[in-house]
Amino acid sequence: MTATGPWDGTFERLLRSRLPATIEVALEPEVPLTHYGLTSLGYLELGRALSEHYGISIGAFTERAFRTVGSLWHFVADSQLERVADSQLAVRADEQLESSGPVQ
Amino acid sequence: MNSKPFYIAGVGAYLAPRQTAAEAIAAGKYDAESARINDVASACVEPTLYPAEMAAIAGRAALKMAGHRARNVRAVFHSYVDYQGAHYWQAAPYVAMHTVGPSVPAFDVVQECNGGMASIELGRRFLDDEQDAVLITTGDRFDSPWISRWYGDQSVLADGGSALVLSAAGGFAKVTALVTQADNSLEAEARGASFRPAGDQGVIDFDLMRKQFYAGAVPMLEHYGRMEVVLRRCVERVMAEGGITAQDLGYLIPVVTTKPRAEVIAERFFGIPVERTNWPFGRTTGHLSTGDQFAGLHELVTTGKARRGDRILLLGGGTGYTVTAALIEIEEDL
Repeated sequence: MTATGPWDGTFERLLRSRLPATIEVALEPEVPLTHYGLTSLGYLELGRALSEHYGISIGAFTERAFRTVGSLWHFVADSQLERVADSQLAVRADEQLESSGPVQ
Repeated sequence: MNSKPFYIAGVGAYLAPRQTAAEAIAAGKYDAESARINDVASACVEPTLYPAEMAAIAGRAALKMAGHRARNVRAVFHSYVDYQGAHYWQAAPYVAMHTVGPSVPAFDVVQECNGGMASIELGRRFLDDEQDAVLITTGDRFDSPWISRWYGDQSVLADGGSALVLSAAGGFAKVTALVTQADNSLEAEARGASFRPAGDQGVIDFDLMRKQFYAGAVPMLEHYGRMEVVLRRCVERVMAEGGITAQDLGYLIPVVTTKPRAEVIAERFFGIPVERTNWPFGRTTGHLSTGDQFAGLHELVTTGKARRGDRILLLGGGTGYTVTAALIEIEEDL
């Protein structure tokens, strides 16, 4: 699916599949998710889908993240950046361990 | 479930005059965007009667329908969520006095929106002998200064009364399964995770309380996850006890909320079209607090939509968090 906002296509597909009222409606970053008809079960399913696809802990999602389409995408994108940064730090740590030789 | 069979012998409803969403918008009480999303066409708005009075009217109608099957009413259970007409006063004895008389024990049941369904769970325990009956009523009126009717808790709040007569002697519908499930760890949702002095009560902001609950007690998705477990467990058990699947249901009558919620519970949770729920009727009444299921059943059987052989699931849920599900089968056309 082609993204219609600053988010990626997968995000839009996962979100739209849980919004009963948005089949023909454009997603606007600043519009509250409740205005698209998202309900408690929808939040839960969407959180699980985003967690699985983007590798975000389900416990990390906050109420604030779910306020608008834009806030949810920023949360996902920021979590992705943190994961990349964490993995780069881990790689550097491994490289430093290897270059320093065996631990005595 | 209790092995003794019991029945619904009577059902009654008092629905206040309707105020449309358009009228509410014109009066500055509602907004067009919420109206578009929620799709609630109108709400019952009572100008005169107090909740216990509306409950008694519905109760008398249900008793009249029950006829001889309500000869020996053992108890009255009256449920509600808001002010009944006086402080430090019990409404159930008023309802009992104006329906079955002065000597029948009467109990108030306060379990948020699951109060009416919870009363079935309590009431069936009074059906010891084959002539025993129990009267269950609901009643609410949402014009108190601490509540905003058109911005209720995920719903538009509505005024009215409703009633059921449970009977061991028979009825137009048999209760084939009844299940209640609970998760008390979610009770703080309805108080925003903290207590407040009585003098600090302003207009109740349900969204704000929920945000406070998420921030201070249970994170949002954890909350929804626990609710889903309770709901799924309750529904699975009641359907298993009844020996049917969701596809066998003639109708589903859940709490009246909004169109998106009605569609999700019908189509995604049960896999049935929303037209087989009380939503087409409920969107004209609004959320009758603890009485949606009884008013919905009243509408189905008195209009002839539900007929003999139909299986109907009454599904209640209330912050706390409790869910009660009653599976019934229509045995007599009214």
